[in-house]
Amino acid sequence: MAGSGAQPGVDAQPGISVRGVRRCFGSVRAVDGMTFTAPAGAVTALVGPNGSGKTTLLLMLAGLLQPDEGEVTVADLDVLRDNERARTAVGWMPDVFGTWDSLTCTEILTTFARAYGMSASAARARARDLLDQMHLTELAGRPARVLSRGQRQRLGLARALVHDPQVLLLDEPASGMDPRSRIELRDTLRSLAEKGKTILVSSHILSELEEVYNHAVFVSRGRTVDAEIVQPVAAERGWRLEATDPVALRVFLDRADIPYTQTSGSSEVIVQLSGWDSAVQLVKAAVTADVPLHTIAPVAGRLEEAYLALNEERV
Amino acid sequence: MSSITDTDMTASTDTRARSTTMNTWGLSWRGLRTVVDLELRQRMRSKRWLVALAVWFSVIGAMTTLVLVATASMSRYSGDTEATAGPMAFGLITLFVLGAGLVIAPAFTATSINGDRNQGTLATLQATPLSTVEIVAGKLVAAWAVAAVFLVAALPFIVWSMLLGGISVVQVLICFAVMFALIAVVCAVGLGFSAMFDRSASSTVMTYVVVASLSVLTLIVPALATVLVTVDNTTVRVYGLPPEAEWEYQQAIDDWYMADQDLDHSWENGAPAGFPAPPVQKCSWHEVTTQVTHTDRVWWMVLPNPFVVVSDAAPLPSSTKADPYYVDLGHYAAVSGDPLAGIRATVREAAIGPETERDDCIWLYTYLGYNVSQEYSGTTITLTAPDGSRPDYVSPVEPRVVTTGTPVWPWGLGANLLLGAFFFWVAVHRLKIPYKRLRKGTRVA
Repeated sequence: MAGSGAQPGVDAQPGISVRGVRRCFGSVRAVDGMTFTAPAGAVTALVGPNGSGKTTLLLMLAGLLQPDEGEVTVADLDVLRDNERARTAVGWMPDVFGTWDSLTCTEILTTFARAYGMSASAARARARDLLDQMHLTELAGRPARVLSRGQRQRLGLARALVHDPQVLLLDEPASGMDPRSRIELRDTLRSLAEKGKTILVSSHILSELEEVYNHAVFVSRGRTVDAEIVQPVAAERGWRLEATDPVALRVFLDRADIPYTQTSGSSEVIVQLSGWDSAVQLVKAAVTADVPLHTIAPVAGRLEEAYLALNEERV
Repeated sequence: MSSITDTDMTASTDTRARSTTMNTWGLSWRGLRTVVDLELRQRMRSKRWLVALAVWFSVIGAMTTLVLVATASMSRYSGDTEATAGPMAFGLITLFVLGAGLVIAPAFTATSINGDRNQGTLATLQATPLSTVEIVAGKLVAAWAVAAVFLVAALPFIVWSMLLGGISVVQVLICFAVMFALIAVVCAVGLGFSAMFDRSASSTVMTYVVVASLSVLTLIVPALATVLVTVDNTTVRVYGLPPEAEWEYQQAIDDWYMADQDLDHSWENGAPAGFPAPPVQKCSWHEVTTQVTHTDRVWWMVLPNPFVVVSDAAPLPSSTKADPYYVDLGHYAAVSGDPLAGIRATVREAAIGPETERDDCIWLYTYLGYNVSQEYSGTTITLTAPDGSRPDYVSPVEPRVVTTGTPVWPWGLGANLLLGAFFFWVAVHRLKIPYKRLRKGTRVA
């Protein structure tokens, strides 16, 4: 799963291709020059602060919004010229999934299956499968308004998957989900990627993307930020160390001349290391020095560090 | 951007416009059904609509009861047969149901699109391969079906009025068919406004403004406009006593009244004995200057009025076919009190406009004991002498007759349907994806 950062054009099959896209709302430039590709068979993270244009970009990818400039293709279909086929190829899960108050979960899914052209019986079967997959079977006959936020998100994901789309666009999919659902979401995304689907996940909760993404696209103020600029800065990161004997650990670090900061009220310390190799060396040295080290972990995820390294103001 | 990309952009814009249009206006039965199903389920499940239907049913019921009681007592006093009580009750109930239908119809669509948008359910539907027309038409059909249920709920009361007699099934069917069409127009107007405005309050108010304009303004405006088409000093040709002969005759009548103090004369069989005989032999053409209102220039403004459309489309009760006098709509309307026929006769009479020739002479014959009756099927007025003979009097003026020929309702209904089609187009145009422009404050999802 190790991320190599976004490298446009390297992978063979572009699931999503965005080139020079701009979109204004009046005087507000929501998307102001985005260029990236998201390969098929992988999960691409779309990372950026609130108001950076993620949702607007997803609307264009879903075929709902026309870019002022630039080209958007999904599954090799131009979203403008081939709008209907592009829409059919895409499964879009908006950040807020509105539900029809009085429709049951099953009915919502069958309605969408029908909208995508399935027969009534196929639609019912598909709805059953998806509800089962999303662990919503018990709620199948309940009106959607009684669902909790997390359940609603799962239903939203099921809805986006109803026609087995080639390209999946998820806008903040994990918000409101409990930890277990988040893990299941990750598993779902992984298995879909393995089946060759293109998955673009936008989020600002970075920890939830950390373990699943293959590529990352950083956006800020409506622009994609060059990953190369982000990567080197991200090399130096904080690691959290913890030993059963905290004093022995600190003594060891002092001797090895490694600067550390001590977090208040706990036995753990944080050191700055550059790259995996440094971490390996530190572990080896600590073991040799008989320090009862039991935990070594990066303080923040790679995404989070890269994100913070963007060093751009929130809008 | 390089110049090469610029030319690429223009080239693609053409194809893009074409395919987007095809996509927008595509309509499939399956797509339409999906949206209709969704909308109906969504609407029918809520308890509110059942409550509304119950309230509606009782209001129409109460109104019908009042009308029936009123018409029954009226016909008892006037001694009319029930054949006229039926049309009167039917007409009143039909107009009331139409009015109530016009009031409730906006509620079914005026917040349909902006409501969905605010709930976040519209964009996910638009993102599917469903075309814009399928979404808009589906919403319209579903709303219309619900409105139709309300109209149909009024049917039992219509049947009740039919029990009074004089009303045929054909009449009921035609009235309802026209009402269904008019309600569909209002639904389309609401849908258009709900796509135009983001706030549901605005779209609801605007829809009611249109409904009010159609039902009230179309009456007020031509009524006020009659002032503009009233012309003084218009010359009208009159066949009757010349001014000096008229003056002499009036003198003679005055003298007779002065001489005879007994005012209890019976006019039952023509003029009482001794009453001065009118000098009908002096009747001739002369011109009179008078004030004339050219209603024929403004009458068409009432055409789009839904009440006028239904009234004009409603066939006359079958009883009128048997009676030759009823060929004159105005006569039938006055006698029966059938409000549909009354509206219809008023509109058509206004369409004919002011008379340019008048026969005053023929009415003088009543003083001679003659019976004056118009032969409405033809163009002559016949006189019948007290002895039953018919003098050879041919009125030089063709009688003005308002008939059921040349119906005007197709124009009114057509205007309404055009209005509905326009607002339907507005709704589709506004929901066309991918959105090129978004109005301020409009959210996509």
